Amino acid sequence: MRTEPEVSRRGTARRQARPEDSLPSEFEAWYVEYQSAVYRYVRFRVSTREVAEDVTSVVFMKALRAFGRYDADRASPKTWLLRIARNAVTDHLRSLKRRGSLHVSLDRIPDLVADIPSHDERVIKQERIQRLLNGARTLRKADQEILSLRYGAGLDNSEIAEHLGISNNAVAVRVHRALKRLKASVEAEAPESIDQ
Amino acid sequence: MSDIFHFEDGKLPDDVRSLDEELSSIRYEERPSFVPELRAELARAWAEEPARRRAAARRHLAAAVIVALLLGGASVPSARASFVRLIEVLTPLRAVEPAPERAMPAAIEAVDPLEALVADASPSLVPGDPPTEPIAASVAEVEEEPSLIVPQMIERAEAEELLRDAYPELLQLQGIGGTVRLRLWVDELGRTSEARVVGSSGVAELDRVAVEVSPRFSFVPALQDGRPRGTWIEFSVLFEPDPPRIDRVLDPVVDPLSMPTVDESEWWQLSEPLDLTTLPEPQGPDADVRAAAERSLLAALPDPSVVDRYGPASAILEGVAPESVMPTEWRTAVGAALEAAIERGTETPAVLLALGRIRMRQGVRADARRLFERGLQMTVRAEVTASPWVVAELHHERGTLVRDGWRATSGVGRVRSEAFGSASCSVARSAGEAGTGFASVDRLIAWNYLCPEETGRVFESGFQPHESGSAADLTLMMASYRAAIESYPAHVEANTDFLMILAAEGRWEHVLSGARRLTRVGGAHANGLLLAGMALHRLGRSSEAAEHFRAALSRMEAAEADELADIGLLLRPDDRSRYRRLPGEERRAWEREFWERRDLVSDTEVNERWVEHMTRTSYALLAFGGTVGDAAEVWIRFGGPDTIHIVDGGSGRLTEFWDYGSGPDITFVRWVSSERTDLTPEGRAYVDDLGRIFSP
Repeated sequence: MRTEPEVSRRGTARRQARPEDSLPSEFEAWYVEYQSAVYRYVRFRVSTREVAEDVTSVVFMKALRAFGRYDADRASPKTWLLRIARNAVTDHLRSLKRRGSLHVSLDRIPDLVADIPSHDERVIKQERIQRLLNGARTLRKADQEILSLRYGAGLDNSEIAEHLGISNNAVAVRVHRALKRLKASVEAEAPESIDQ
Repeated sequence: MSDIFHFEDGKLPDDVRSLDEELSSIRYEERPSFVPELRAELARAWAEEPARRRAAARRHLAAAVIVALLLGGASVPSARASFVRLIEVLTPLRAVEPAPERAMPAAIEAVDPLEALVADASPSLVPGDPPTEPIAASVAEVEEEPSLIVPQMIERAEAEELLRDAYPELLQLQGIGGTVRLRLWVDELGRTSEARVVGSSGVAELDRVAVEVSPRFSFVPALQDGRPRGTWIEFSVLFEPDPPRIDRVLDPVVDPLSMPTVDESEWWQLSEPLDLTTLPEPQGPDADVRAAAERSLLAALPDPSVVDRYGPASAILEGVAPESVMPTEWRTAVGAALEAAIERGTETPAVLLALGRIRMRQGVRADARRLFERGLQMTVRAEVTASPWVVAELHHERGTLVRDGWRATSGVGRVRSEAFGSASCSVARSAGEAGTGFASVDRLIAWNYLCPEETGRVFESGFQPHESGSAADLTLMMASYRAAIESYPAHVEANTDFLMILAAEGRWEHVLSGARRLTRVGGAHANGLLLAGMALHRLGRSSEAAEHFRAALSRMEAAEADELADIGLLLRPDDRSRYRRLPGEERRAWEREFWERRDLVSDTEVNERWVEHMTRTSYALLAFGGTVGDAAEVWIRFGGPDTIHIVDGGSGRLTEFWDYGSGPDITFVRWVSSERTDLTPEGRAYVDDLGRIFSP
């Protein structure tokens, strides 16, 4: 059973006397618990670690400032944070679109790795990962969203279902379809053309 | 629909299963310091939240007043001047709005050339249909129309709320605002239509929002002689972003992806030898350049008296408190003054540079980096003009922050416990395990000093570097330094840092050509000569190296030259004390005698031992910031190690094992957030022992 940090209902952000370096305890718990999921969700959708850090910072800064308006009746903290993350990523991608750069060169992704002992194999794997992510970014938004929730944030189908407000089965269908489209996209794109 | 049948267990069909596994296997390496950095930033933002809310409330009030005043043009009585100026251009065409329904002052003569064409479409026949474009009437003429009461806005707060909600989030975060001047038709029933932009904000998105939202405003229609009538109104909508919300990281123009990578092109190299006899006199950064940056800083400050209280401007620009004041208070006060410039929107790259430096010293490194990047964005977007020197400083500071991140991860790893295998070190058996499959740092240190040979083998087979983004950091750091040098070629610090990275990699040919270029363009700064000397010696050209070192010494301040030529670390402790107490001339004599006795290859003109010593002290000066300190001491006494293993002890504590080939490694402790590299207690004891054994 999934557990969430204990939060009170509305009006959770009552300020208390605290040292300068502290956060509201509930928010602190969220940060500890969900920072990684948010970061991974964002990283799945943006091109570099630096950008992922920046967008993740925006997400938590926004969440902190909206903390007082968080309503536990409407969404779990994780869902709430991932929604903020989705908006932040959308804003970021929109800005990138204006500048015309959504892909990233294959030699700049050392933070995306797989557990492969051999260095050469790891390099090949990293290139493959970047091709997959580049391919994912060519998919429609709904596909990107569901893939980043599953493979970035690491949500299981029931969590995604809760997040999107749809049934478990609908999630599975959407994931399947998104994967099929991703597969087609990656296969269609020659390696040379991916690496810009 | 067929795929639904595959998902009873949430399992995917075969056609995508391998892709699913592949995507599931991706690991996302986070920069180790990112999580605590962001947490600190959040805590700081939270601590400032009450003040921010108060400030935001004041700003919202001010914004509301401005919006109300601007919108008020449509609702205030005609006697007011501001309204008259609006009415001046609200006025409908008389030709298409025959009085009294489409009232125009009788005195106004229509001049619209389209009059004849549109006369039949008089909106007076169809209430709510707006007429064609109005023409402007003069203020005087409008003021002559006493009976017109213009549309009154209903629910102004709601209108403001609509505008605020529609203000695109991204533009707010980017700090983009503007004023849109709109024209709107309000018919005799108070309905609105035909919104159009008559004065663009310069931001298409804001214009679009204003046009979309304004027809939703509600009005009481204009009245003339007590009867409602349709009329054009014109007003401005001000979009003003909330300064604290502005995110300076979003949409960075200085995108890491667009930064150049280090290459071997000729831009930073100089292959011709230097003529040491014609070097120019030493010079600092161009005084005019600095003065311009200081003026830019001062002009941006809302309260110039801050310079009288906390100046001089040069100190503020450097972010370093003058000696006469308490640094902490100074940083707080000056930081607030610089923040005020940003709040007011008058910041310049120089302001951002100064504030970034203060934030660095306050330990808010993520903030500092954003400020530097914001400064660079301003210059790239040509929002303001900045001197090449300020741009170079911003790039260099940013590169330095990236370097710190790189140093925290580069070459860092752990040693797998299994590597100890059958190795035994009976005396060190009790040293603990970390319990994670990796050897604890304590165990490694103990083994290192008690069973060095075994430990060497353990490192060889079991050292596992972290998977990290250090390669990306390296690229970004070098690109930042390069951008600094390209912006201001004589930037000594950027050149030095750039070349020292190459030196650490043993790329001495590149160091030599880069150092020659630095010497040529940097007013023959001593750093260029030292780097060239180091490179020449490492390339086996000690005689030329000696000339470069002598040239460097002759151009340095006396104290700095003394530090570089100091041989105290090579003397016995009692001799060291006596040597360092001597006046300059006698010290020089001691040094000459010391080196003459050690000129082992006497058939060459140069004393190779002295050149080696100068190479080491130069490296220590440039790499460790001076010849004082444990790392510098070991480097000067024993030279650079063959290899360095850096073991992550957790919580930002790194232990360095300097391997000199035989005997134990010399062990240091370094904190990720610190510049210092100190000997561990065992390392200090070992180095002192070596001093007693090998003392000259």
